[in-house]
Amino acid sequence: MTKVILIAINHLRDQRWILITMFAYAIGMSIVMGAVSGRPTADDTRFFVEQQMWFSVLFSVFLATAAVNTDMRTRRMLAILSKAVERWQYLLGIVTSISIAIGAYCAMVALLGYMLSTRGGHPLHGVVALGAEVWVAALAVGCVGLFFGLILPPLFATTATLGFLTGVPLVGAKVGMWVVGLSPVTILLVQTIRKFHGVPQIRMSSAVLFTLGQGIVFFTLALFIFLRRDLSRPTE
Amino acid sequence: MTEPILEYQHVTKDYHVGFRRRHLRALSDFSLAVNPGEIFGFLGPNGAGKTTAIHLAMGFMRPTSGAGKMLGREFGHAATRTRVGFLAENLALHNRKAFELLDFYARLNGIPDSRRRAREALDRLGLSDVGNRTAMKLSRGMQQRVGLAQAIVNDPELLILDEPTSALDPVARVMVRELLLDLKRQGKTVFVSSHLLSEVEAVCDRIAILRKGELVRVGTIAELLENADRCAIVAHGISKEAFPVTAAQNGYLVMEVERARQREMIERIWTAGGEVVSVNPVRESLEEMFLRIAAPGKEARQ
Repeated sequence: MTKVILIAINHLRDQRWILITMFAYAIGMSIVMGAVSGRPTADDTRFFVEQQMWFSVLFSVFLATAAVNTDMRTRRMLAILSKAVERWQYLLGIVTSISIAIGAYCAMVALLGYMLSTRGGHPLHGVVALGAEVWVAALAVGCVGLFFGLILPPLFATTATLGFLTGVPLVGAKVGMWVVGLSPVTILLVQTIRKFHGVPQIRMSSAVLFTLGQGIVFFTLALFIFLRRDLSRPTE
Repeated sequence: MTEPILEYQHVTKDYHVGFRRRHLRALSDFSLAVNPGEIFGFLGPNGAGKTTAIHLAMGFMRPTSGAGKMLGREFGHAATRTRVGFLAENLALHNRKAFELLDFYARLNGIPDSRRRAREALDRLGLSDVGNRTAMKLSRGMQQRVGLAQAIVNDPELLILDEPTSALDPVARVMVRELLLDLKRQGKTVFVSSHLLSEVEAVCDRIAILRKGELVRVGTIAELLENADRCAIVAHGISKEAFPVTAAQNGYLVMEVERARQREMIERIWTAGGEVVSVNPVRESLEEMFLRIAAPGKEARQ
C-alpha cells in the first residue's frame, strides 16, 4: 500500500497547479459572494454549493481521462514502472490521487457552503452528506473516465465519459428507465441534488453502494486493459 | 556455465500504428544473451528496435512471440526490478527537487534507507550541489545525470541504459564512462544502448548490432572488427598500375582484397616478381563497421 500512496502523492504534486487553481476559484467565488451579497440568501448559497459540486464531478473526469495518457506521453510512467511497482499499484495510485483531490475539494465546498449559509442566517442542513455523496459519485465518474482514458485519446475520452453519463438518462427516457440502472452514478447525482433541494429521497444508501460498485466495475475494466497494453509507443 | 543475466529467446514484436493500424515489425526473431559482469553495447541506427528490445525486458510491453528472462525471471516480473536500474531515452522527470525525486524512486523500490542512498547517488554523479533544485529546471545534461542517479539509487545488479550520454558534455561523458567501469569492477552488469560509438568502443566488452529489428552482429569488439571479410596485403617490387593498390609508401604497396581472393592475389604478386611483406585482416574502426552493416541500403552480413 505504501507504493500506492507514494504514487498518489506524486500524482497530486504533478497536478498541483490545476488543484490550486480549482481551490482558489471556489474560495474566490465564495469570497465574492460573501462580499457582494453581504448576507447570501439560502437559494444563492444552495446554487453556489450545487455548482461547485458539479464542478468536482467534471474535475474528476478531466483528471482521470488525462492521467494515464499524460504520463505515457511524457514517459514519466516508465520511470515509475521501471521500479518494483506492479501495474495495478500504479493505476490504484492514480485513482487514490483523484479521490484525495476530489475529497478535499468536496469537503472544502461543503465547508464554504456551510460558512456562507451561516453568515446568511439560514444554516444549510445536509451539506456534509451532499459532499460525501458527490465525492462517491465523482470517484465513480473518475473510474469511468480512467477506463475511457485507456482506450481513447484524452479529448475523446472526456467526451465519451460525459456522453456516457448524460447519454444513459437520455436513452433511458426513450427505451425504458431500466437503462438508467446501468449507470447508478447518474441516479445518485440526481437523487443527491433533489435531496439537497428538500425533496425526500428513498434508498440513498443503495444508490451510494451501487455507485461504488459501478466505480469498482469500471476500475476493474480499466485495470484489465492496463495490465495487457503496451505502455510505450513505437517510433516509426 | 553461467546463466545469462538478460536473455531474449526468439522475440518478435509487431506494432499496429496510425489510424489505419499499419503493421510494423520492430523486432524479428531476436535472440541475445548478456552475461553477468559484462558491459554490453547495443547498437543500431534509429528505428532499429533497440528501445523496443529494452522496453520488452523492462516489461513495458509484451512480445508478439518469443520470451525472455531478466535475472532469471520472465520479463515484466515487478519484484525483479528491485535489482535493476533503468534509464529511459528522452528522459522525463517528475517536477520535484532532485534529492526528493531520488528518495521517491528509492522508496518505490522498497529501500529502507532511501535518503542515504539518494544522497550517495547524487554524490556519485557529481550532483551534490543541485540536490535542492527542481529536477525539471536543471539543464538537459544535469537532468540526464539525475536520470542516471535514479538508475543506480537501488544499487542494481543489472543496469539498463538507453542512450545515457546523449545530452552530456565531454566531462560528464568521462564521468559516466568511469561510473560504468566502476560498476563493472563491482561485478555489476551494464546493458547500454548508444549512438556514440567511441563511448561504446571505450567501455564495452561485447556489442550487438541491430538493423531493422534483426540482430546482424554480436561479439567482442576485437572479434567484430577483425572478422572483416577482407585482408590487406603489403607487397613491394611490383608495378603500381598492374594491381588494385589502395595505398603506397616508399615502394610498399597495400592492396585490400576479399579473403576469397587472397591466395589468387598473392600468386599474382609472386608471378609478377614481387615480394609479399605481410597479410593481415583489415581492421576497421567501429564506426566504419557500423556504417557498413547498419547504414540504410546496405545489406547486412552475418
